[in-house]
Amino acid sequence: MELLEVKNLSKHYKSFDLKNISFTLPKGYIMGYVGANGSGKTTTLNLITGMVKCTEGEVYIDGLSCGEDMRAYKEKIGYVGDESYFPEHFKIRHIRTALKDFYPTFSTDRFNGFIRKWKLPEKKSVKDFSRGMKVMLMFASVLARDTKLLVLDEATNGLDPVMRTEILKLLQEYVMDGERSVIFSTHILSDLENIADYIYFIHGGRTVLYDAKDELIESFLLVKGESAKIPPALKKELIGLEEKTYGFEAILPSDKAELLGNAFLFEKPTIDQIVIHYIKSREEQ
Amino acid sequence: MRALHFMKIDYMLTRKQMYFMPALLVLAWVVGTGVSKGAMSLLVTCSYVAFVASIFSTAPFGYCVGKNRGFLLLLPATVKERVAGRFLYGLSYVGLLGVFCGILWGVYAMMGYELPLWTVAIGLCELAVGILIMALEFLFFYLFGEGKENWQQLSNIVRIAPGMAMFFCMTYFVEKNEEIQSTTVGGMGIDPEALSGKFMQVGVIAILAALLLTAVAAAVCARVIEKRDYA
Repeated sequence: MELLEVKNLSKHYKSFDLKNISFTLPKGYIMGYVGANGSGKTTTLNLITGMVKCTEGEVYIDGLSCGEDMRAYKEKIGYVGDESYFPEHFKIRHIRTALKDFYPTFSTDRFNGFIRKWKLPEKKSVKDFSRGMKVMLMFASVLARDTKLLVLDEATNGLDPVMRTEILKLLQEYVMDGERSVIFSTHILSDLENIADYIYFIHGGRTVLYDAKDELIESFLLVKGESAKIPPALKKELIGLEEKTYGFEAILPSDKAELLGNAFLFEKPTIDQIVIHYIKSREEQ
Repeated sequence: MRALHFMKIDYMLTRKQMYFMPALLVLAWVVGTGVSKGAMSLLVTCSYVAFVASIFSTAPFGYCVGKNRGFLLLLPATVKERVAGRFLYGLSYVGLLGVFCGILWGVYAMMGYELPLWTVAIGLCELAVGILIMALEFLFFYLFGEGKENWQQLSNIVRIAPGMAMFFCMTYFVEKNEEIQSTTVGGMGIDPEALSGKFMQVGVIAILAALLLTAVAAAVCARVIEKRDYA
């Protein structure tokens, strides 16, 4: 059963176009939404949350589109951004009051539990919180109510490893009941390595790769060797060929492995390596 | 209901300005009594109060700029409810300060001051102009400046200038009152008290018209905002 359905999503800006983004995310899974800066990650996530209106296409969360019932649609979403979205002069009690007023499923006890657990200062204004505290407050505000989809836009960037690990654990717990899902954009691809089930890779507003993480990793090889030994047939298939001091490094679709012969080393790539080599190849084009 | 929740959020956002209110209301009374006496001083006080209301009622626009607006935008509500909440906040502010003026009027009446009915009507018209200024400022902020971070100076001018102009106009009117009366109403041989009933009608109609125009402004803002992207 799909929780998130994105169909032919397009958004036109003067200097940027997001074109025909389509994917689905089943219930109980985590999707990593990756790409370079300016590739369209935040635009897509803003389209999903309804903060930006699409030029074309549709988004459904649990079968419901924003146009059908905006209130119910927004209640299903929990959003954590790269920057705090709370009014700077608010204190925790103001946020608690507002959430209680607007969300029928908001649990004050759960919210207070997170506030105590993460030692967030009740008496300070949000503007005096550290970045980590702001992120945790955003998490407390979305985890204290019944959401179906967590949308995280580079939420873990700039956090220390302890906090990042805690957030990753939270995300895994969040999807554990098999009813909820997470879409997660980040530059720290090692985080995705650990928790993502699906990877959607976007570049220049266009889809580059979209698959289950394990299948994606299986479908490529990281190839290393001496540049001089690369035959033309292989060179044509290598993606993001990069010259290094010891030779070259590139990725190759696994189904072209027979082109390698015995002259090169190859191994399973990481998501990071696939993305970096793809971005390199796109930039060269 | 959600519009009321948005109004509550705006009150929470601007809670600090509430601390200044008592001092400003006292100042309004002092300014009024400094310019004139009795009913005429109340007109100056009320115009000062309307001036304060026009500034304070637009405060939420200054507190919610850039990324800080995200929280409001993500709340499960329609654009109409969000805009209505802000207009309700503005109206409630003007209304609260109108109540203050009404109380002051009552106190003056109990103290035995002569309060001609036509001055009450002018007081109502001031309130109507206060509502109208608020509605026009909201219209301006929603159509041109909502959430913009680099509009500080322009937004301050927009917030201050109309209310200030009204205050100075009223001060001028009060100072020149006798002269104006003798060259207009009095000069034509009309007793203003004889027209009191008509004046009151004008005052009430002015308030109703201002409320109607505010509702139209809110509808226009909601319509425009619905088509806007927020990120």
